[in-house]
Amino acid sequence: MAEPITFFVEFSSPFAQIAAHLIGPVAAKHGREVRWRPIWLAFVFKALYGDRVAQPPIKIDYIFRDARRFAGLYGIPFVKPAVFPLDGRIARRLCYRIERESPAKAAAFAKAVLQAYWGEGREMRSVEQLRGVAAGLGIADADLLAAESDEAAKAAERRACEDALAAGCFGAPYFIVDGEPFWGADRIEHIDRWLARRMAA
Amino acid sequence: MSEPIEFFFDFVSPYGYIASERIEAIAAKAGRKVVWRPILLGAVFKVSGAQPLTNLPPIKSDYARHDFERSARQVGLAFKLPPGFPHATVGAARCFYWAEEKDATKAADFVHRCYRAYFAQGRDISKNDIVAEVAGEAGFSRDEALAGMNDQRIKDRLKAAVDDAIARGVFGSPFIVIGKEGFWGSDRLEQVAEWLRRGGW
Repeated sequence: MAEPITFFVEFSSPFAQIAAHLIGPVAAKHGREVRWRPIWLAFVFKALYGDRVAQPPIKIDYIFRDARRFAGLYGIPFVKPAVFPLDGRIARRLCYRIERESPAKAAAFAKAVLQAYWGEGREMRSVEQLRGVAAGLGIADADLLAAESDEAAKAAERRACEDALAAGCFGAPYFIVDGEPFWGADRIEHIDRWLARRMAA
Repeated sequence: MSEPIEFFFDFVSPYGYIASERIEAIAAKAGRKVVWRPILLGAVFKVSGAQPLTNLPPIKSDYARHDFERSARQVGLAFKLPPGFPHATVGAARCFYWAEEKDATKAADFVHRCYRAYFAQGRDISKNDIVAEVAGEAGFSRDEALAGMNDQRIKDRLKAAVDDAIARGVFGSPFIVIGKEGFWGSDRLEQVAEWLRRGGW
């Protein structure tokens, strides 16, 4: 099996929901796995820009409109959540905690968090808010409760953010395909064509 | 024939160049014409607070340069970032509005020639005499084009076009407007085509 596609994802990004739906089928088509790396994008921004750069309001409005339109084109559920941005710390750490046992389950959980937040508009910050999603995937409540202060998960989360920076990440979703970086859900189609040409070559 | 679609762009914008080569075929398929609307990103960014792509932290500007080239290659378009990029394009934009008054069809040809002069041939379109030369290649009088660029009425015409673009929510290049629906970026052309085909979704 060829190298997996690394998928750096920030749960608070509207394009994360779109990317989560589109990257799986493209990867599978080319016989690749997707390696989910939930990151805290603010960590990356802080390293690059110091204090967080604010987007002008005109652009933020456009981004939501564009994301809704983009999702609509592919029939991907998308709403503007009542609470934005999302503090996804616990969700990220739970991902890294359960990844130790099962990367597939961690990816399924990440995807379910995105669906709940971006597909249904439910905030996914606290243990209480995450409980239904976690339980639905058979994740033990003890894991959910332990996630936030799981030192190994915290270290894995931090390592993912550092790896993202080292891989040239400056925004998310961000993909690495055999060393080639792609930024944005709108580049998944390029990834598809890129892999098709590599296979042919 | 339905309403034309408006194509806002800056002659300095690589993604504007890439999109300019494809937009007419997309519009024609839907029985639409393209109205070319050159603007000045410097003026637009002053309002939005945005930065040119090549003026960002190196990690992002390097990616942008890489993506310009990869995006052009994907569609088989000659592209070389001109030495000294970015250049001032106020003369080229003025020349367009002068040309449009004379002959809109030839002015559209001027847009293509001017973009190719800059991004394929590496000519310095910040110089009025080079722009006039390109206007000559599009079938206009070089001397008249030079005089047109210095005409106060044409200068005011460009300023009004930029103000109009900003008032209508344009914050980048290319920015394609279909009725009231705005699409930002050459990576949204597939969605533009689909929007025209379906009449929105």
